[in-house]
Amino acid sequence: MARGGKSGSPWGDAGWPLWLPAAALAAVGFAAPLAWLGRLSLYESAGSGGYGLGNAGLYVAGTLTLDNYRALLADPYVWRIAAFTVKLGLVSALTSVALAYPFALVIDRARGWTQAALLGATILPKFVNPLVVIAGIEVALAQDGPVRSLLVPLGLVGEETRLAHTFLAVVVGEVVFVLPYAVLILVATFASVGRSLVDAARGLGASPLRAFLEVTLPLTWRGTRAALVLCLVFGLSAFTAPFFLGGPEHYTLSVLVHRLVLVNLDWAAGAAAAVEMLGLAVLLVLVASRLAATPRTGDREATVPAPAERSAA
Amino acid sequence: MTDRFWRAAGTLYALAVAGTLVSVLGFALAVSFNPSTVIGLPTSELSLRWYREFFASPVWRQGVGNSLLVAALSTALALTVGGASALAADRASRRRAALLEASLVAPLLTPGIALALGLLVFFRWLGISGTYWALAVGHALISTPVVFLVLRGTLAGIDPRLEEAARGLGASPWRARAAVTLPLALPGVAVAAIFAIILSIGEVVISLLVSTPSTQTLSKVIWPNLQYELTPIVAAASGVLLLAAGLLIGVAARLVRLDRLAVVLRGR
Repeated sequence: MARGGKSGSPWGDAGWPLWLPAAALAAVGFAAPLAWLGRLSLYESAGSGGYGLGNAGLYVAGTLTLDNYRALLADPYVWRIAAFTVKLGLVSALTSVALAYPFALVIDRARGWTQAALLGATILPKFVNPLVVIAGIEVALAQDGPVRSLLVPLGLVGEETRLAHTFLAVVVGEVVFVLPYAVLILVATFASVGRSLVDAARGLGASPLRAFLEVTLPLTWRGTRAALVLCLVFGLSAFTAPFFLGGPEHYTLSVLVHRLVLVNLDWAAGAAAAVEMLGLAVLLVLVASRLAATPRTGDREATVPAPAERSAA
Repeated sequence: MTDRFWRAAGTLYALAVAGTLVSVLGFALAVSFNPSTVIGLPTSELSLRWYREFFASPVWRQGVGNSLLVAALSTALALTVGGASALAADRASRRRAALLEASLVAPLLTPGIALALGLLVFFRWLGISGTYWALAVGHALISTPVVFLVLRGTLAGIDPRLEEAARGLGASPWRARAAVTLPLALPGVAVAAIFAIILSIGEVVISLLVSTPSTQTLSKVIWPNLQYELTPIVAAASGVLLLAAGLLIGVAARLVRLDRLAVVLRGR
């Protein structure tokens, strides 16, 4: 792994030419597009009345203004969308990690065929076009769909309750999208922690629950934090799930950008919204990693319980 | 007693989660075999009616063709960039390798719609927006980091002494790489290519913004059909996409153990 520096050149023994393809892709596919996005956001907006016909629409070339940002920041509707984006991101990230943690724990303890099958089921949705996943959820939550026909007779869902195009549907979709990332990170975390410390705690008389709370949980806190931040990164840019599974009250900033650009044909305003979204994402992720980094159980030493406290459960 | 309880509870829970994830795809597949024009799970008979309509429609056929072409182009790009970068990172200092990885992973963490809009604007400025190569570059942004991680894992698993032995026997650095390291890395390269194809076929947002009616990929053809009312032909498209994913995963699974790759792909 750490073969660095062996060749004497910091670029590696093949020299800098091997770095050119990555530099080219980063320039053409990432740096320049984001720069052009920023530039577009500073053009004067042509408003949404022209629908791109004639002189109206897209943007007014040759102008330089911060009006797009002013308009967005002054619009309470945009603030509501931003607030909903954050809410959806947080809810789906927390739900995903909460669901993924015990799931990854079971995968870690499983062996052979079971482990492979559970991992396969986790990764499978990520290998399929997300629109197929959306279609599947639409079918599942439809008014005469399988979920309602299962839950209504059990009394868990009211006779008249709609599941499609609700906040629940949007969260389900987003969780299906980000859960696999959380599971993969946590499976790797559990694998790196290993079983020996848990076995030691059990051998000294800790109940399974106690061993989990005092040994496994503190040791996997870092990985859990990483999973949470990654899920939040993806959750904040939620687009297809709220677009297809929600209603107008479930618009996220991504949906707003899409609408401004492809429905209103107001590219400059769309670009400004996209830049704001980038800023918000960076900000929230910084805050999230800060908050998650405050010393909690992670920095406490895992204490081994006394035998007297054995199997209180 | 408690041990068995926790194990049983854990297994039940895991089956519920895995079952939910898989059943979502199962529902999408099941509706495609329902001959009725009303979307829903098949009740009485199964039919391939919507698959026939799918393959009879020029728009859908063109979508399949475009998706395959863009997948091929973007996979070539991703293998070139990801392969060169993996070789570079394998031999570079730790800090530079981390920098390289960060620059490749950054597009993956950027909100898709912002990246797609940026690509659209920049490609329009270049005059290449809507072309197959523009789409291929966009898709390569998504697949290159994955290709890079897989190939780095592959290279890390190859004993460097083999290449050194070849060098000691007089081979040039590139000769040693081509004759010794490349054949050993070939299964990893194939798996990386399969991942790149899968990611390209599954890409939605960049395709939505950058492609034109003549270059639109399957994702973009599906898009309007999902928006208001799910149409049965979309279910057939889902079936085709699921079949493609299944075949590709099957090939990949024959090449390497997928559960090993899951750990490689864990991200950072």
